[in-house]
Amino acid sequence: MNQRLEAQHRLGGLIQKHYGRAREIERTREQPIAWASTGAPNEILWAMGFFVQFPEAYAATCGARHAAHAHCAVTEARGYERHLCTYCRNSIGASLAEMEGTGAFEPLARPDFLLVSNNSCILITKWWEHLSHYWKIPMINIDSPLVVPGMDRGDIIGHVKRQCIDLIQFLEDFTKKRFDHDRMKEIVENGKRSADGYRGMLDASRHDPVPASFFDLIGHNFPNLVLRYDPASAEHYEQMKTELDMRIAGGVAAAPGMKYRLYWDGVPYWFAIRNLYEKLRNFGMSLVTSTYFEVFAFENLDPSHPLDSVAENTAMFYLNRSVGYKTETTERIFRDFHLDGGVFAYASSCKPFSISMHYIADTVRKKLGAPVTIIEGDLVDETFYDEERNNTKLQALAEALAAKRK
Amino acid sequence: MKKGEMLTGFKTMFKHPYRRAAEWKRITGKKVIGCVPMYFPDEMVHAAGALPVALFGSGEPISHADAHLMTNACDQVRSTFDSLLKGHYDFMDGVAALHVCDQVRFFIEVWQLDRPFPFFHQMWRPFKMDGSTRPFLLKELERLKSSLEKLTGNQITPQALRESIESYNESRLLIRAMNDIRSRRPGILGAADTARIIAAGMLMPIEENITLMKQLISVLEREAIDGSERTRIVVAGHPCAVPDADLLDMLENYGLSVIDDDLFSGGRRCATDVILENDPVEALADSYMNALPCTTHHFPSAWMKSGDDHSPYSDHVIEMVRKGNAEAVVILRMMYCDPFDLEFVFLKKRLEEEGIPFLPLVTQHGPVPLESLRTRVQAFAERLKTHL
Repeated sequence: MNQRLEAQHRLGGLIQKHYGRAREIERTREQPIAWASTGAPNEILWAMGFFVQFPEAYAATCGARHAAHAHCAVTEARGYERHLCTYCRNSIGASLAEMEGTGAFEPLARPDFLLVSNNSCILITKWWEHLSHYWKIPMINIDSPLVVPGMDRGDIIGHVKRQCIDLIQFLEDFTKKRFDHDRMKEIVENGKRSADGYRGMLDASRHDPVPASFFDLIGHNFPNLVLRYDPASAEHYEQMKTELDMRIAGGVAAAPGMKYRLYWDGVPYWFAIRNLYEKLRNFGMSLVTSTYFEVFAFENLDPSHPLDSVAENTAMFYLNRSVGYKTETTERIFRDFHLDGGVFAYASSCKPFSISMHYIADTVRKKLGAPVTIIEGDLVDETFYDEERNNTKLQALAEALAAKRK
Repeated sequence: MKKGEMLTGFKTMFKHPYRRAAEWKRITGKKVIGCVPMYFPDEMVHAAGALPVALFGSGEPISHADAHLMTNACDQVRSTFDSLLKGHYDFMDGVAALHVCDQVRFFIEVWQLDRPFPFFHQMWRPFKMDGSTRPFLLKELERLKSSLEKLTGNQITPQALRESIESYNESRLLIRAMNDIRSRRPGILGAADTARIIAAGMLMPIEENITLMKQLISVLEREAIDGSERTRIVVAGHPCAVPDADLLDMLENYGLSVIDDDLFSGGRRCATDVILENDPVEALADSYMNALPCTTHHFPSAWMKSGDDHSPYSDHVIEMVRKGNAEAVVILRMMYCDPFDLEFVFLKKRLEEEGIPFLPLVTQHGPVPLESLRTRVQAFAERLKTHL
């Protein structure tokens, strides 16, 4: 964070431009606006001319700007339980506040259509049902099975593809436009280039000293998620890779003097990023990478098979993979990125990340001998966050790492 | 046999949930498969010559599971895992689960990795129910069929599966008959007894369950109880777990009679049959596609239109109230059950719009702190009595 990348300025510009454009389209209605989940087959929306916004990314922004708690409070007043996903509660709360004219934080542009896939969790479909209910607009869910041993990969992809075809038919009726296969191919091409660039950015962190920390990279999920249909996303990563390579060549570290390279597991506590960064730095620990980045990798895109590859991307979404697969991926990352230990961030309202966390952390500790700690908080609602308790755990981790190195 | 003796028998079976299954295994030498609630196709297990038993967890304090799972898991998941770690499932030959919710799907995976069983089968029932997802459901049913055939060495022929489905349909018919008596003569069968009877049916061979249910219905039909002065209510919620008996008893001690319910160990278990017309695997797939609205399903046709309010689950609960001529709904909300908690917001709104009184009660694992709920239940019962 103290060695600011040029890419951060460029990222700020991309974000600003995206949301500025959203406001403009909301006013002119020149394009339909969709709200979509991260793992949905969003290339179809882009090919159909939708402007796509992402309630999950918006929740992260609200968390980082300390606006999420107020949104969550709106839902609590409506009977939503506090233990429900705080991304979900933020999104519903912000929507209700916007409809009632009581919102204080910049909202997403109002949607015309909702697309979701239950490939991140099953709850997300219920969340989208509630958005559909309040906004009074249609939604479509793409059912995507959890990929478990014994299932046939081709069957799963075929299952998702059938629904993608149904989605296209629905959108043709909805927009009164024909689906443009050439445009789809172009979008998938752009997406593939963006995904390749994203992987290049992540792989730079294998180097020691790490040229950009987890905290530096975390915001750069945005282009590959939100803008990968546009060549601007790939260009961003290509320029970023050049910048990171220059750092590597020059021996420039993201934060000089760090003694330990750490792994992060789970969704960041968006409201506590700076606090955690400083705390870890004080202990000589640098967060290097995370399987969280895999959520935004979108690596199955293939312009020679646009629709099939979009279906595959949806079906093989990282969050929809088995606990065994996630554990193996975590172990591989520990080895490939030469990590010394790990911080596992339990999110009290996020069941998919949290239920298996204990198993993954324990496996890494036992198989790789890497010290790990599980800290506690939540995605965006800071009322669940106990800073002192977590600091104690991080200190214990630092001590365990020091003892191991002796 | 007298009613009291029969109810005590069911109570004992539920108190020792796996005693009969273990005994059955010892005598027959056949396989026992633990099935995580809800909606696992027991018929398929039965057709393979194995015994499916529901894994309800237990009422014991959770002392082992929290070392393996984070505590935001629901009570059903934590209690089931706790029972596993305490060895309650050791005699079983395998475990099977249908991914009904996020907790089950990730918990069951941890189980498979952390405490593997020789047979472990996870099945996907599409969350979205429509024609586009049916082919994959069929594949999943075929995959389950192959796994069970491999485990048991028995081929699941269409005829065997058809016969199993017929047995389960008969069991469902008998539960519906029992519920019908309860609805016509409130008070004849307590809600706690009803839940235990239905849950016990998931812990024994279906043939035994059919025999017992026939005896019970015969006994109930002979009993003269009117119960017309009691307030008729519907109980909804508690999707996976069997509700606490003391809590259900408390409702009825205040003059409320549960005449229908939407519990998995209740009306939901028997509401719809598997319609056997052609291929029995196809019939099972259709039964999922035509299932009762549940908080763990998504019905796409309801959400593809603009401008309407939808909650198929709320419609279902309201329909139960209307059909059963009930006065109110008690909603049992199991702690940390995300699908139900989200649906509750719609249900609450719809019940308010329809003018149907309701009482939501949050339940937690272990003995329910009845005193903290007693005042609310009493006030609710009195309000209903005064209002009627």
